[in-house]
Amino acid sequence: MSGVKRELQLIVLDNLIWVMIIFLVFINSIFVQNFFTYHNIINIFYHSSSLGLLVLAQGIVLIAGKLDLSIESTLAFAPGIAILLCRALSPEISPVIQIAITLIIGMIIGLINGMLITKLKMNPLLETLSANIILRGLVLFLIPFSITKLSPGYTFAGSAKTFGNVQVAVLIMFCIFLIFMFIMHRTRFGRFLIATGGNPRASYIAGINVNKMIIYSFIISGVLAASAGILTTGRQGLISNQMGANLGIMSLAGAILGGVTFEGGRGTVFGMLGGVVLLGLFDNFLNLLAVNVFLIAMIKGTLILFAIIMDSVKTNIRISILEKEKLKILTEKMQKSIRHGM
Amino acid sequence: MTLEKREKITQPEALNKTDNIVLEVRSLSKVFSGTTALEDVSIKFKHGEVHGIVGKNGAGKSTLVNILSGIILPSTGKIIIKKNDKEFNFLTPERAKKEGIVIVTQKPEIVPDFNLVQNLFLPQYKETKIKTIKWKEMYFEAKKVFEQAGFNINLTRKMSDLTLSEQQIFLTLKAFYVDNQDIVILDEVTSSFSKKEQDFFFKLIDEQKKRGKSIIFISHRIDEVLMICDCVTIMRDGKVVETAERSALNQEKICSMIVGTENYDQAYEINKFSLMKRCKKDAENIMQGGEVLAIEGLTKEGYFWDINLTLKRGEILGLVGLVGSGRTEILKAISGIEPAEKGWVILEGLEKRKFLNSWDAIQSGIVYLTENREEDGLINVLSVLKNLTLSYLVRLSKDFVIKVKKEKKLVNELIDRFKIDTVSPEEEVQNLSGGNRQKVLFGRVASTKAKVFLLDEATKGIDIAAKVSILREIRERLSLSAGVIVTAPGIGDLLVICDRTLVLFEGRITCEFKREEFNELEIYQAVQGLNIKKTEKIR
Repeated sequence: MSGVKRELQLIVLDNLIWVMIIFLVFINSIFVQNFFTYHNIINIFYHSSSLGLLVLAQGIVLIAGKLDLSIESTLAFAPGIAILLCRALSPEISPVIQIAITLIIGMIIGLINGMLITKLKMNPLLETLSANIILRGLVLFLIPFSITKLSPGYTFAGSAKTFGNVQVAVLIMFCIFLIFMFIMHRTRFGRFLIATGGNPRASYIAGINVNKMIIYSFIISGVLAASAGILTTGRQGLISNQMGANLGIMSLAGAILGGVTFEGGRGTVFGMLGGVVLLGLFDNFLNLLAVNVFLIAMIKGTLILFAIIMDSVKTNIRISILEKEKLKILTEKMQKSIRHGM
Repeated sequence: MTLEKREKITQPEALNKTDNIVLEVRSLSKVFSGTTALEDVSIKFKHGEVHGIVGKNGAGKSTLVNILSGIILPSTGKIIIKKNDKEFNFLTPERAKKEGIVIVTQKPEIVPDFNLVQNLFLPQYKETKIKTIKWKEMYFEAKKVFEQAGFNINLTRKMSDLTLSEQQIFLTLKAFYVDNQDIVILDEVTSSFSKKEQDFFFKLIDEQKKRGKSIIFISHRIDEVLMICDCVTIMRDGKVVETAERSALNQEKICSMIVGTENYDQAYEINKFSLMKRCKKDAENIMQGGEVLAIEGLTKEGYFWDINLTLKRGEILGLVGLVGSGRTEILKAISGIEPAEKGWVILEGLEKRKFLNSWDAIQSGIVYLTENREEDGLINVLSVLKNLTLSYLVRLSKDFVIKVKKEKKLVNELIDRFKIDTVSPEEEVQNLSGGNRQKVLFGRVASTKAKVFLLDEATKGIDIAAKVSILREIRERLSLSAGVIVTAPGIGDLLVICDRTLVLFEGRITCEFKREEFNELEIYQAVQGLNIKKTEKIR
């Protein structure tokens, strides 16, 4: 019996973010008008779809023990450059190739980041920060005005709707999260990535190609940021040079809310999804309540602070639960031996 | 205060006291959970004397030193400081310093990014009235100290640019001239010294002795101890075997006292006996086993030179040597973790190879168990399950996808087999106790089904019961289908399970002992670089 109770306690602890979400949804449905409608719920997911991919990108790199601040500029750079390139080559390029080129550009950015950080042993914070500034500068220079008149195939992923008014973007986000859940839980790659973040030296001695893992994590992050760029482009119907600005810090917030830590080696994809949903929920109901935009930023900042506090409290509770369990086993053993002795 | 003033205050007092004793420990004991580290230790340290303390790993030297410098508290006993006739039940680091005890440890305590002057005066800088630091004055004073000692070095260099032995000399100078206390403890500072540095160091000690300092000198190298000490205390198993004048001692005598004859733990003794009996039976099987590993001319400049050895399937080969003799470096070079510059590794008599990274070596069947469990071994934030299967995951998965059921089954087997005490396989490994963590690490290595196991101090820092179970595992399971090279903190453990032992001295293999020739005293002397039988090229 006690085993079941302990398991339950641990499950609640590990998924605290979802408990918070359920609580928030419950409160909001009662107090906020127009919140608990089908249309609004879908809307929340739709508007957090590109941030969702960024959170995933950031989370994967954080799990590997590094940090990627360049994703917010990659989000604008990859689709912008891809479209400019395609238009320069020929006016009639298929959207599939355009999307492929976008993703390849994201991949190359990730590859360069990863190579610089592993081979030249650069600090990931400084390296990706400067990459971010370089990419944003290039975007501002190359796209002085927005790129419009995109082919419908290119904007399909971000704008189209399927059955029940659910946007394709929402489906894409969920699919990608599902794929990464599988990768992180069930594949060798995922396991090695977590180990690398947890202790790179020990992972190397245990036979893991640590540098390769880190480079892969940056490539994944670049590709995901480029995909987020495609979704954003579709939603807006154009490519602007301000796309993704300030989303880098929000991606960090989402990942940390979802249980990922700066030290690496911790966090799950399911938790990250929770982080995304929580951020989306906050945005949505503060909007519905017509709270001032600057206050929203402040409230989000508080949320991040809260997440960090929760994280340390959580580990302490976890340890105390396990210790209680050990004590119980010990006392049981002693009682048994006393009975035998008599 | 300038240096001269400080000297005047501290120098002459102790001379007048009876017997010239400056420091005494009286029936000191220390019990850690389960083990006794010190038992009824009484030693007297005299004024103007170099007092050596020698003993094996775990003999209680470092416990004693840590008590004297106030880092750990003794369980019972008294520490008597004669200067002011004070008696203490325990010391704290501040109290120890106040009473005139300063320590230089084997791991230098420095600020790497500060320069020498900044480090030299570290806890207390000279300040003007408005609390700015008098850099110039400090620089000149530092220059004076180094000129006085004859240690030529550029004072504006960063501390991290110095070699380990230069840092040790620097800290020793600091202890003598800047801290300028009566009693200076040198805890294995000489282990990385070259001949030239050693000469300088001994000259320094000699001078300081004449200045009236009392020096407590701890070392693994008996020749050094005999060269500079006036008086030597030999410790074994937490007890003082003897304290004797230098003139009454020689190297053989000290070695035999360090090694001793009786062994203390009965349970361990019984298990040892059963393990040894098995060994004889296995010896015949080994002769039939093929050669699984050969090393040819392995060299890494500055660490080890021209290492040649062969290992048969089923054989357990012991590698013994002092810290710095190259045992860890050799094992790391074989397993590709820190590759050697020259030399070849030959697996199962096939082609000559060189492993340049850990994963190639593991895929080919060479697996290494690190001696640094906390930093290089376990991944603390991951669960017991994930730690256990990390090196074996490649064979537990198909097309990159892990076979979860198979993995769980394997992990449960391993937990049962090694009796790992954990609430569930999902518990994070950092919540486990030290012995259990070592079992997890050992379990990871043992489960790999490698051809060659390189076990670097597999029994480090664990209790007797866990030690016996790991030794048993090496003998009865690992060596059945593979060759094993082991090193261990004590020679005793190696004698229990090894079929053959190679002795390393200063980066070279100096001699070989077969099982029938095992003799703890002889091996210990060989480790010290003594009585080396000139063996023909060892293969």
